[in-house]
Amino acid sequence: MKRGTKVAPRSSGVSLHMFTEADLDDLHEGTVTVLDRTGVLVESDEALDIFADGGCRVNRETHIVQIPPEVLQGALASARSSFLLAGRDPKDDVLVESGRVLVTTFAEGLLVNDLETGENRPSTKADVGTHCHIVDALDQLDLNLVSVMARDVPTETAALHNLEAALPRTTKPFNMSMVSSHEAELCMDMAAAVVGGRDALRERPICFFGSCPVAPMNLCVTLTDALIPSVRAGMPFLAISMGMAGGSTPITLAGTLIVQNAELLATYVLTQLVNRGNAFVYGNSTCTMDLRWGASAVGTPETALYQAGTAALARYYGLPSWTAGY
Amino acid sequence: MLAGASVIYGPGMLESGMTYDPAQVVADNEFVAMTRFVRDGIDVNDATTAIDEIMRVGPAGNFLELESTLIGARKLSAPRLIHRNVREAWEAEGSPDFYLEARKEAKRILAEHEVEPLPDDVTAEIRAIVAEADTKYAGRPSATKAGA
Repeated sequence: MKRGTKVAPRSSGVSLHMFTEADLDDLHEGTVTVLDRTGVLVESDEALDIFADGGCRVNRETHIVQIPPEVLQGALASARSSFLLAGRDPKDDVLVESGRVLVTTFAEGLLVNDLETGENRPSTKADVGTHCHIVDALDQLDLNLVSVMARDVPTETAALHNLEAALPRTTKPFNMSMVSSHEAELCMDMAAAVVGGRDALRERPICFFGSCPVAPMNLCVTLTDALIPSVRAGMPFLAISMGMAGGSTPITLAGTLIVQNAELLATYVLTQLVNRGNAFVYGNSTCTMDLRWGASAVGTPETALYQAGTAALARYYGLPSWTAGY
Repeated sequence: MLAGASVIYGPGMLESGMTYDPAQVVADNEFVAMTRFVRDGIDVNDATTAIDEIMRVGPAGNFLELESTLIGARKLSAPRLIHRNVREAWEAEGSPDFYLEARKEAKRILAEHEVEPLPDDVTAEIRAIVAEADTKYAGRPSATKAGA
């Protein structure tokens, strides 16, 4: 089994610690207050029921869920700091851990630079397989991903087509984006067909799903619909917060981290209310809006700081993190 | 990397996430190796400080002929596609373009890298699940198969 690159504090190696404990406590306490007093929007009635049963204050009219500090603390008590992702070939097994670094490719592109012609064109199902095949061979990339959206298949079943294209082209474990409960269930059935049933899949998850809240603080139906069946089945789940500072989150970096933290901790609480102890990955792809153009700017110093901040907060909670980079 | 994120995603991405480039992911693979090298930092111990060798070689000597140089060289960073030689050598090789070399490598992988196929019955089961879902949720049977 492969483990990620070690990071300090250890005997050697370079590391970055940009927050003091007091800074992290401030970010945490700010988030506790926001979750308790302001709450998050939860679109799905099924998710509202779960939050209500778990001791949260739920307003059925406004769909606002306020999470009391004790509910949050209860959920954080069962935080899992590591979990196995299985390769279709066991040589590709990896341990996703808080405090060690794995690298994977990009996900959710809409366009592709064609390998033959160089043309920039809409992405297809065939591209998903091609990219998985290339990443399978690259020694520095520990996980695979569904790199682009297949835009030549029905949107209602796109995830299934992505998985059908990816599975035969890699033996590395992989992540894929998920936005509906029927796709989540059927994709788990497809992966189960490879490993020999749903129980075997829980033991050796060869793929797992990720989905995104909508900033600020909306646990949208696509997120919770993907999450609930996945977590019920005991599969690790990745939530990626995608704030855009100055638009959907505060212009300040710390404020943006708190909005992101509120979204991710609320999502994490939901996973623990569905299945206590379920693996959860604390993810971000937060960026800054360049207010000169109104464009989301990804390759910026702000993004680097959000990534480092996300890693620091996830480690504070003992959760594995997932950030954009490279 | 230095902050210790458990998983970093992004290689292959262009234009703030709009475009995926299969040559770029091959190029980025080299950058990941280099950042991991930086992360490893500098080991400071009796073997690495090399005081004995420094004293033995002395002023105006050279370290090139030492056996430890030969052994240690294998532990240095060694990108395969990034060209580090001088301009004349690079031109003598036809001035290879980093991006085009990465594209060539991506094509080589597709042609030569073998991935263990799924058993036929599993492929058929997966196809049946997708086809049934297309009919049920999209109202039409699917036309596209894996890798089509």
